[in-house]
Amino acid sequence: MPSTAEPFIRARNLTKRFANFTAVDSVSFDVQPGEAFGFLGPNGAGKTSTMRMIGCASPVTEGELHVIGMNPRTEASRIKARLGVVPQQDNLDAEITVRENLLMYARYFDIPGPIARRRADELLEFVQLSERANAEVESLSGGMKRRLTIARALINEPEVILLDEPTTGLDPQARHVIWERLYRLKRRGATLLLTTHYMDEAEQLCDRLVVMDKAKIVAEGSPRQLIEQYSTREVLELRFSDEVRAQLDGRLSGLADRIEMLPDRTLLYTGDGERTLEQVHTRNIPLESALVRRSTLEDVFLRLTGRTLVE
Amino acid sequence: MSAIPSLRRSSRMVQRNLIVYKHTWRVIFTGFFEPLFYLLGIGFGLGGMVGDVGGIPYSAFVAPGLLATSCMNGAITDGFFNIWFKLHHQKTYDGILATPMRVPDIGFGEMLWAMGRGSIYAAAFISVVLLMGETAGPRMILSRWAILALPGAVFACAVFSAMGLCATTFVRKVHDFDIAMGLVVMPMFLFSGTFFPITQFPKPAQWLIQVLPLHHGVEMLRQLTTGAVDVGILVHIAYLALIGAVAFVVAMQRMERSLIK
Ligand SMILES: Nc1ncnc2c1ncn2[C@@H]1O[C@H](COP(=O)(O)OP(=O)(O)OP(=O)(O)O)[C@@H](O)[C@H]1O
Ligand SMILES: [Mg+2]
Repeated sequence: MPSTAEPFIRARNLTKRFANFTAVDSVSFDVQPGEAFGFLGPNGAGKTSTMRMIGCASPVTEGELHVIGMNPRTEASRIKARLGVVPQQDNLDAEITVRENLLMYARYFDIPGPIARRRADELLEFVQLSERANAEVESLSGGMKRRLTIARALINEPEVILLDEPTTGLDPQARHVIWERLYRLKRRGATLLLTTHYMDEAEQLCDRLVVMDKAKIVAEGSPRQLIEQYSTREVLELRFSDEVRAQLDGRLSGLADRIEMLPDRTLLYTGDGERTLEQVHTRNIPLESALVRRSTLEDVFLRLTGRTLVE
Repeated sequence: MSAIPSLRRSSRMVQRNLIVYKHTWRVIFTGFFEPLFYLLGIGFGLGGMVGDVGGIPYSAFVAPGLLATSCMNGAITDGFFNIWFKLHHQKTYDGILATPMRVPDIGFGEMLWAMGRGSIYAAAFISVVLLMGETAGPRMILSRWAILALPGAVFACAVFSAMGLCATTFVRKVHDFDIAMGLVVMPMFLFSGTFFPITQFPKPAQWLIQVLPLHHGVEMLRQLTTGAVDVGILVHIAYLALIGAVAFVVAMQRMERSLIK
């Protein structure tokens, strides 16, 4: 066992190129054992490419990568024996049943039959799919397939679990079920790596995260650190009618640390949203609506890249 | 990347396919009936009109040809269509590759499966042919060499499944299958000496046919079931082994490239 000081995953100038296109451009990060580490970024940022290199599903083009102290280039099978992978797109075995998916996956890891059967039943319980154990995979809803994929990734009791957008495309209820299960895994001491474009997901689950944009890491820290460093405590969101908006020039100046004009709303970054709203009122600017909220990672992302995360 | 498959890991693919066939076991019979129908329709139906071919009854001439063909067809159904869908549509292999399994384990495992399935068909076909020959006649198994027809058929299954696997990696769209079936498999089936000796063709055409792997499969099995064994059988075996090995290596390289991006 490596000492606790040694990172579980260590990337230095990690680069992935497809022909001439650079999908991951010289990124460096460390993930400690037991940590929940996130990759937050918009479409095409390079999150999946990074995860696939860690999962030994994609060769490293350049740079250094160590996963549980091993090199994916030479020890892929030994690394994969200790990883659990939830890919962005479910790749369950559509030709066999829910329970058979788990049992067969256990065989690929050389897990003996009796242990595999016990774990399969426990995991079906864990992801609340026991009733569907003998169902065809095709008959499952999107959320159920996602849960089955998570259960499958846990069959080898992995030390590191890679989750690529675990809840994208699911309804809020299904997302909460998955978050709750991931939370439990984290409490049991599993190391989680996850990608997401949902800032709430990142805030809920990640101890630490990197913000990726255009193949590079643009910021790193805990959700709170990032918000403190790159945003204000509160945000005032204003909506104006088109006429008011057209003649707004300068009328908001001096009211906030920073002002972002988005197509549908205007964001005022400020320490105290209510006070800023009062000042807007005293300036007699007609509003369609106003909302005071806390800063989120979305604001951090907007600040860093000038774009919103989910377009 | 290590290119040598592990037998233990490859056998996992066989287990997986067995589970799949637990659900769709009826399909497995088609591979058995197809050569039998050809034998009844062409061997006996047509054979009654043709008489002897090269000094043996026509049905005895056709039977080993159909045995080789059924090996090829089995490999095509499994190694061609099924694997293509697993590769491109169901992404089954991507899931499997997140475990300690490697591409050569998957490829070799699929080949083992095709071999196993093909052997069952071959054993069934040989038994039926033997039984029909003994009870209703005319006899179609003419020599004790025929004991080697079963391992011979298993070997042919292995070669054809490697070829199927290799061909699959070149298929881009479902439409490509039609081209392959119509322009490669069909002529190979008709002209490889399955239904009539290739000496019916002009010399240049015969040379062309001698490139076709099915021709060598047919000739190898025919020597064994009729007992007309000569050293030429070693050429057939060597040619098939070479084609099979090359096809497997190419298939693994191409699968590796399309799966490990
Ligand atoms: N196999 C490939 N061949 C060529 N380009 C690729 C390949 N895979 C990914 N890319 C490109 O690399 C870039 C990064 O892709 P990646 O899938 O890593 O992004 P992502 O952050 O996961 O995005 P998303 O949020 O949409 O999943 C994209 O521009 C993508 O088109
Ligand atoms: Mg992605």
